Amino acid sequence: SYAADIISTVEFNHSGELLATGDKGGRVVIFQQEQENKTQSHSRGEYNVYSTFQSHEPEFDYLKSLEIEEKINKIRWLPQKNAAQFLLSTNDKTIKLWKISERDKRPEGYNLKEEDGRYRDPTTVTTLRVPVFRPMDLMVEASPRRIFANAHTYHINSISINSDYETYLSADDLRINLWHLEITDRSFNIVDIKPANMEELTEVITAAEFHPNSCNTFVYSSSKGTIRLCDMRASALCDRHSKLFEEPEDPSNRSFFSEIISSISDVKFSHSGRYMMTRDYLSVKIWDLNMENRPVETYQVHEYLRSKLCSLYENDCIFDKFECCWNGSDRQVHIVMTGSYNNFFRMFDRNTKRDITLEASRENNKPRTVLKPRKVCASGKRKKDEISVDSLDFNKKILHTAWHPKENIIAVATTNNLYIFQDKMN
Amino acid sequence: QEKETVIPERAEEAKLKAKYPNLGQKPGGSDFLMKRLQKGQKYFDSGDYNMAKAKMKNKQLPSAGPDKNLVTGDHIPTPQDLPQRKSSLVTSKLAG
Repeated sequence: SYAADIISTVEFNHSGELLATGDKGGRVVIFQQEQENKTQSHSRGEYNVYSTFQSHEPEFDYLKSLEIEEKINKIRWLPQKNAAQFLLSTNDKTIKLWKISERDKRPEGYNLKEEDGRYRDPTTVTTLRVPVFRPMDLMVEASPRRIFANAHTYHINSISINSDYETYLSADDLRINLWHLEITDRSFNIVDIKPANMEELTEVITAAEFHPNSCNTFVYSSSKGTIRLCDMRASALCDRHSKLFEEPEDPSNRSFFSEIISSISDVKFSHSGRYMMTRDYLSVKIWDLNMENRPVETYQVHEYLRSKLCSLYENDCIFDKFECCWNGSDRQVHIVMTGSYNNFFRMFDRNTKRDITLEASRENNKPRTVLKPRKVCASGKRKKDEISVDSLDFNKKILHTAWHPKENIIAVATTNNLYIFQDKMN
Repeated sequence: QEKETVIPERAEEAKLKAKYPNLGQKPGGSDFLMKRLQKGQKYFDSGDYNMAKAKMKNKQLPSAGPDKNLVTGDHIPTPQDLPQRKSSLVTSKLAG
């Protein structure tokens, strides 16, 4: 299989009707949910390919001898304002606004052209007619409407659209910029943590997100396990945080690996904006925005890896960046989901405190059957159906997952396959 | 008598340090950050190449070390070390 097929981002749009994936080859594939079949009340619509396009191409910055990967790091959808759909996609250096529109009719009956486009001999035209629109097979077209380039020296890890739907932020390892969706030739730098002397660099920005309701508030996470909340009303350059979220560390537990595994790979606000979730190498943490000194909940994703850190460091897996997501906006249910190795992914129910491990794989799951829970045996006697830590495949990583905004449908990306699961109905 | 409970992380750290005794003293720290910031850096400097070639006239050319992305003045990149520009004409397999 091609390296270009490696899925690098997955995102539902605001209605959940569309699901976008980005890959290492710079391509975007959008799936659309079928209209619900009235006769088949047991299943929700399936997702079929709707559009695919090349978003980014590989580039070479000759001035800096820098190869710029075309890999799509993030996709974020804009809320729908008219018939067309808009999304932002970004690679390491350039953000693009794409318009995806449908065309289901075309003009026919031109006077000077044949239907196939060839020009008619004008001397054969004896009457005039008015061209009319006739239906045609649906065509979905993607076109780049804005290109936001040249604002990032380092590699972009996040983009986040503001609740004002006019601006968005883009974050790289050391800086965060604020853009207006209509303006491509300038952006405002709102966070800059680059030290004057690069030898003093101790921390980088790993993720950033705007608050879902407060258009002046955003957070960014760091490689040292901290999250800073900033208020753009306080100053133009938000180098001084309004809040600093950090869990105190027990110094007697400190090891060579402590800082690496504390690095936050993803941060996501809850739908209400009251909480935020962070993912570090071994756990998912829920923070109450009103409490900076520790998370309110911590969920262990794969604690059994703690005794494998040496080999995970040697094979670089310790640097894998897992994402996390909240369930849709159902107010009764509070579940968080994140991926792991061996094509396993985990869900934690915040209400019941129960958790489950599931597997995204064709070999082990028949279509339309309920997924069987998995269990990893950390040590000692392995029970039947359990998998031992040593037989986990660390090349099968689930880094990207997404939850439908309204329904219990989830999208799980393995290295180069996309799985869509839904909960059992009735 | 004190009973020593071995914290798994510390045991792993000891394993790592046994394999790589010269591992940086700073825990985690800047080496990784620097590597992260330099991702994508692929140097081929024709000036360096020719200077090194002139210097190494009679000697064996050094081959690429384990980390091909390291920038060094004397290491001579060979055409095999240079990144291949990929074709982007293939459709994603997700698109069927």
